[in-house]
Amino acid sequence: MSQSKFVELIQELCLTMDIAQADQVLDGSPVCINNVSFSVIHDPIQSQERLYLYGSLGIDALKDNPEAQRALLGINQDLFLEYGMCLAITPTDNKLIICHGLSMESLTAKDIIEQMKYAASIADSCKELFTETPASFC
Amino acid sequence: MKSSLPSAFVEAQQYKKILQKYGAIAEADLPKQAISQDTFTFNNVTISLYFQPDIAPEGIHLRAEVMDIEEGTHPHMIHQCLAENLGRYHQNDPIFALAPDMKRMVALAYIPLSRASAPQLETIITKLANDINLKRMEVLSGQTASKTAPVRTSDYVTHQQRSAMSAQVWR
Repeated sequence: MSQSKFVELIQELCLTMDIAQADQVLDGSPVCINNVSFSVIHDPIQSQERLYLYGSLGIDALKDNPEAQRALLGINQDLFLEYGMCLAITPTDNKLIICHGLSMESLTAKDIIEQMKYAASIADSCKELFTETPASFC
Repeated sequence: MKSSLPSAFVEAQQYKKILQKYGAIAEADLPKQAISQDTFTFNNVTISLYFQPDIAPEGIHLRAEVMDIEEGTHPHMIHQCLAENLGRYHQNDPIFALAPDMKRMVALAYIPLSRASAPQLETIITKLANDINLKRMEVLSGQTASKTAPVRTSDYVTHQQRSAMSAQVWR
């Protein structure tokens, strides 16, 4: 499994999504679903059998918004326990991202797309809530 | 008959065995009644292990109490915890979250049953307790930069840098 399975999945993903540059996606270039950019990563050092989806939610400037940070950290419990996902901030550019680890065993490209769509829907909810009433989370 | 058992029941039995094994290994630290409640204290950290067949039939969830958070306090720490989550998740380490009452910081982990073993649980719990105690010390000493969980962002950052030239759009 591991790397060869990952390559197969990415090639299948690109075929399904009609993306010509599978090599670039394999190399970490993002694919965009419902306005959220996802990088699909496989790091055999960390895990042979899992791949990770990192979706950039396009929300930043959270450093000066402790209420929003608090709200994000509050969402994480349900997100992690029910869907295995987690919200995080990139330390370098302060962007909000959603992380999702998936076991590659019996995983298909369609499954990956479905997971990305679901993560994108969470991104939409986050955007909506943060732009309207961030304090309502707390 | 065995094959007709619901898989959740089989998994629950496996989970029970793992807890029993873990209890046997860490007997000195874990009271037996605490094991039966799936909650125990290890190195001053309250930890719960639980199995939710309806949500995650193939693994154990672990939850640890980190500290109380008062409203409006520790904004830097909360930011730091969110920033650490990226690296923690990627490394399969416990991530940080707030409890539903929004007043307590917790750490959460998922351990697949296929790979869960008593030694692995013990390793995870020992590391988790150490991380949490360090996090508490960081907060008490006013530090905001964590040294407990190096964040592996190099891959992601590289991908972000590439995004401008090669993003694909698909809806």
